[in-house]
Amino acid sequence: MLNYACISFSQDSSKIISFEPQHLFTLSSGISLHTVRDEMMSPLLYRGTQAPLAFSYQFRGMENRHTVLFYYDNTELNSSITQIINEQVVSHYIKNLNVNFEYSFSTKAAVFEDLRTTLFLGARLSSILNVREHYFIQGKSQTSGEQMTGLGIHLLTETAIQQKSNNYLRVEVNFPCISYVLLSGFYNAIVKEKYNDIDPDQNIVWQILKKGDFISFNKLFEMQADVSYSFFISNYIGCELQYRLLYYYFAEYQELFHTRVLNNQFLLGLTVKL
Amino acid sequence: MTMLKRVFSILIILFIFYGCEKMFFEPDPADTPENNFEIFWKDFDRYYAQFSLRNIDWDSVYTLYRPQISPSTSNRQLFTIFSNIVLGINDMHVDLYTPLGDVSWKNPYPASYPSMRSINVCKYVQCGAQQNSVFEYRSCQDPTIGYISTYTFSGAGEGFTSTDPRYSVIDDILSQWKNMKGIIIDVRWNGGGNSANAEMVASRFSDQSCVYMYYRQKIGPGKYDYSSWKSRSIEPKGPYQFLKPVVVLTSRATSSAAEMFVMAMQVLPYVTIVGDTTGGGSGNPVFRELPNGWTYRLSTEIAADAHGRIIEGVGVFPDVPVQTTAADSANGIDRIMEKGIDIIKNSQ
Repeated sequence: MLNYACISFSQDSSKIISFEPQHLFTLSSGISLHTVRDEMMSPLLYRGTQAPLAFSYQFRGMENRHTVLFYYDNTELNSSITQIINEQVVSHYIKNLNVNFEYSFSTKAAVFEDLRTTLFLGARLSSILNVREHYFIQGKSQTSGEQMTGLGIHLLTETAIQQKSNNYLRVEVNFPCISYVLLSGFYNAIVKEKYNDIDPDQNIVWQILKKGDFISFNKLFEMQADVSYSFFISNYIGCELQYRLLYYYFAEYQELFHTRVLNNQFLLGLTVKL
Repeated sequence: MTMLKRVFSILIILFIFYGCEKMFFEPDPADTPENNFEIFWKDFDRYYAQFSLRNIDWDSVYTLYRPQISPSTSNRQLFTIFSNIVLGINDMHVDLYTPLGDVSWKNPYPASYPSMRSINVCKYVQCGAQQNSVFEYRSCQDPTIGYISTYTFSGAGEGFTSTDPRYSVIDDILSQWKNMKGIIIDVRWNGGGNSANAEMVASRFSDQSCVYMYYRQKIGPGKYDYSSWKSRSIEPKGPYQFLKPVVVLTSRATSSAAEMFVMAMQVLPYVTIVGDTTGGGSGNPVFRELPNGWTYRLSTEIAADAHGRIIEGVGVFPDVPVQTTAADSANGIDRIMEKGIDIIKNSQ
């Protein structure tokens, strides 16, 4: 099940009920903390920190909301047994590539005047690539990971915190109905029956794309939560402080092995409003 | 002010939430001798594919060793137990890597073998080889015979079977050697690597698509959870295929992906395998790790040649067996090389 929640505080010059349409472009970075357990590869937790890069575009119209987000980081994760000699990691670590792409669309469905809340309904498409190069000894590595693209029902509420204030609380919830998952069904890092016939001389990406599975709530649980606070230092330029949480739980091989990924992000962004 | 309080309240809640990693994850398994043994034994039970081939009753291994392990078992004692288990499997793809030392079962070579690369190759081939990091290549003393030596098929994308571009130099070599009468490929000291590289090189000698091996994988935790037998094929690839006489030199040290190369070459009608039986292990091994930091490796599949004969623990038989004697090695005489040269010279 994919579950998306976004809570956002904003202090910009717009009015929650009657503002003009806005185009907001935000480039963010900060600190991203990852915790991963890939049962197929290791019984241990791996943790790491990285400065990520995120770019988002939001359209806030009178009736609609559109959001596009691109996120990237490439993190080194260490376990409790990772050996570091002369400040060099020599064994047991993961190079973890994370790339996320999201697009959500919602349209105004109801206004609750008493609660100063506007409800939007729509859909969200999210795509997550998580590739883990798992190093064991002196350059020996094995790869695991997953790529999932989910489509689901998207709910968004925006609530004015105070009367006659530009501050508002933003909550997003997403329930994907179905996800298309690549790189699933590995019994271990070597045994990947579905991928045995991949021809290295042909386009590997295309061959992998064709071998995905449609899965639903029973194999994937995902949760995201965002809290952001925005303020503008001019009519067009602003800053955004954001906390973002991503957690997913994915059944890699039947019900035998699972991947659990937790990602906490503290981001500072520069926003341009058009 | 109220707004700021709310924002700070939310941030405090978030920091608390962030600290709750335990909400999402169980703690790591404890680093105790019992846990390490249980994980080690269970991993082999789940993944290791060759118990029946090697006549090993894995349950009896548990019965034998588990009672010997208690919370007071030292690392050295645990290492001794694991070493005994690893060496008892007799599989070149089962290893143990620890701070106390590494343990690998090695296929014993005949005492008459020369040490690696010590044969006086200049006696048979022209000195001053051209080479990159994976190939050495030059003409034999008879300049109509080419000689290629490769010590590894390692490199690039072993997880997703992509080839290493260093091996594509084979296309340059073959384009220069189109007029050669034949080629000798020496994989006697090749310990294997990435099978995609082995297949890529073999495909440059292939005239048609053909099955060269069969394999089955351990695909589930049950004792008999194996895939059906599947085939692997080679087919002509690259800008040019060399379709004249080829001799592949083999030894007991020819292992793993190098044996796949030998099997692929053996199905070609103008290729002759000369030398000793190969090491006998395709394995396709996977690395695992324990809570105490020890790493180990185990085989996940069983391979058979194009005739369906299982090679694990047996090896690939040469078409023309040639033994190296201790006297030959001492005198710098390479009987296997000599036989290979003779075969190409006498070919039509």
